[in-house]
Amino acid sequence: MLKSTLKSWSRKAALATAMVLGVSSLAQAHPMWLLPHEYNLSGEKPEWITVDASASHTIFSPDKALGLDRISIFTPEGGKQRLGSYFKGHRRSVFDLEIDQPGTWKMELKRPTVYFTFYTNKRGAKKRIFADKQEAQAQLPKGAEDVVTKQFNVSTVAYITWQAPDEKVLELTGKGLEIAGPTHPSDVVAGDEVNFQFFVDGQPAKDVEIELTPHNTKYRNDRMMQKLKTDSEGMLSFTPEIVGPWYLTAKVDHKRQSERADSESSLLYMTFDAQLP
Amino acid sequence: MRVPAGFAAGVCLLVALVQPVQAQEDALQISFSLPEIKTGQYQRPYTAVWIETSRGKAVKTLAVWHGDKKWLKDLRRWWRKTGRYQEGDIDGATGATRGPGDYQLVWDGTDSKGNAVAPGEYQLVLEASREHGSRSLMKQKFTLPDSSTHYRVKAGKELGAVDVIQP
Repeated sequence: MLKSTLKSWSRKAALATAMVLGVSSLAQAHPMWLLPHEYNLSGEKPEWITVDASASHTIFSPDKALGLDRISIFTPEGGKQRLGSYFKGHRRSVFDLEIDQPGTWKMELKRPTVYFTFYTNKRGAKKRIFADKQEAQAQLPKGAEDVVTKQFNVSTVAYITWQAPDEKVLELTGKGLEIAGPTHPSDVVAGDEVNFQFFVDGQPAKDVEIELTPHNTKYRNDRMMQKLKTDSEGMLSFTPEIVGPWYLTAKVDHKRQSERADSESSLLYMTFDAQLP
Repeated sequence: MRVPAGFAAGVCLLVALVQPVQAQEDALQISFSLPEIKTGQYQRPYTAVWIETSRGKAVKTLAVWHGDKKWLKDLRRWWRKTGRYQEGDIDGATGATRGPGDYQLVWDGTDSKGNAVAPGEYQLVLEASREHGSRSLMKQKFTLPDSSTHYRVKAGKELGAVDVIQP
């Protein structure tokens, strides 16, 4: 019973991810985001913040609600906070969170690992199935060509700071694609240069593909998205000129394969606030 | 804007009142006002006045007038540069919000720990933020030490014109 429930859950999750992820390219994936309405708090008492969670191409207009059962909330003291109840609508999910420890908090929504197998069928049409290399063996139609299986690791993060920012939640775990300072994510100011360093498995990651988009894309003609890459030290440098929330997407192709996939990519999404100077 | 000190003396009563004393005691004299704003929903603004290095590092808070600290973050620059770190002793600078009127402050050339700062380029920063209202941020660069200098900063929505004098 448990097994079948789990199976159906993971199948649902995979489907949901597939819907969100769309096809393989970063440009076409439905980017998922966590949008806090406050990033910096100054009160003397614990304070509640409210956060929207959705996936959309229009930044930040909700489109597809995200399940939040797997969200992780990391506290400044190094612990984890449980998320209480949350609302999941059709277009967005919403949760409130009590910030009761001074310092910087991290919220992260990680998708279960997704496997896509792409192929060309005998009529020459490009197709894909949600299956890893082994599962695909049984599912691929006869005559399938150009078969390639890709693995995607996807997560989205946002940071909140009460009182002074600190570094605990920014410590590297050494696993997968991660972001770190020197610019603290709660310390981004419009007009000031920002430097974020990216790591893969604890090592500086060069050539990570970055897209940066300021909020409110639906209220302007020019999307104003910047495409950048990290340098040889894994550093991303840019100057946000627009005040307000920004959306960062980072994608890296790992040079490795496994029994389940021919290639593996990680996508890391982050929402941050460019503050008034 | 830099104006001749003689002219400054004419327009600013403060200059006439202040004795030309030793260097550090009154390295910087600041007079500014909170404007009277006619609105049904007037709340006194949160106001901060402080010194930064020319590169934007906070040196000392001269005044921070506020109510519930929940909204201190609305003094966005002050909060980000210094407020959130709770540096040094700012009890002397802290107070309740104040209403429209003229105010004078003096900087003695020391940092938040009370040590005299090195000669060089600095900036005076004033920030005011009002519920239902706007936010004003003003900056004036100056050199330390300097003498017979008067700067005037144009008024903004939530802050009147500022006179900055190095006697």
